[in-house]
Amino acid sequence: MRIFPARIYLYDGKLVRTLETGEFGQLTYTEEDVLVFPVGLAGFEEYTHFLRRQPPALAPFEVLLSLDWAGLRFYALPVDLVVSDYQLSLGPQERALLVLGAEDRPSHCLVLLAWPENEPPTVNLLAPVVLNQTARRGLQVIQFDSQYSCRHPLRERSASCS
Amino acid sequence: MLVIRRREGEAVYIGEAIAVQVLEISPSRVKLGIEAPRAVAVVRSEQRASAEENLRASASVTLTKHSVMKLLGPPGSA
Repeated sequence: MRIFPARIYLYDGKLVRTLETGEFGQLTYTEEDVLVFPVGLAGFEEYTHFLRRQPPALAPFEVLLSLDWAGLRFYALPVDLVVSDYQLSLGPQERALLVLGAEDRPSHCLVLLAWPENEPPTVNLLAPVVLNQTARRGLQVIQFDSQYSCRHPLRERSASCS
Repeated sequence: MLVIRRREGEAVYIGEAIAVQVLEISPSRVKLGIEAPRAVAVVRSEQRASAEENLRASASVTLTKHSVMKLLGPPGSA
């Protein structure tokens, strides 16, 4: 289901669009803010356009919001915050989809948070979301030959910790 | 689970249309050749697991400042 923006207007020579979201209110964006995932995400292959937002209150979490399906959103963390020496493997096909040269490094490597109600929070280290912000491309890259877990636990800290 | 022993070059058939052949065996992995109709999706288990995890991720509870702090501790301590 394609979302049609609530409003489109011209500002500073750019087309600005607005997106109504339940969780984050009304968001504004331009085409330059749109990340294209050429093959979508695993299980969500048909949804290929996302906005990346970093709400200050949720830092260091980020949010990937689908522009193709109302309400589809993923929380993500920089992988380095979970595993300091994460070894990302990118093949030639993946580099091509990300518009990265053989020696180029991706701008971001994120892991998606899964925290359904009444379940412990986990992140998917097996399939990080890799971004090339310059080309505005994103790709979920399954690390087939790794030992990384798709349900790596994020342990809740005591609320009284300081 | 049905367990079948096969050597390199040998195959098993699943129904009439699907064949799985053992192409190569090395100490740490097995190379399989799979013939299946186009309509049958053949995916590696990691791909299926990732799709399932993405489904769980899409159903995550709404994060709040409080829940983020509970998870990661105060800002700067993650």
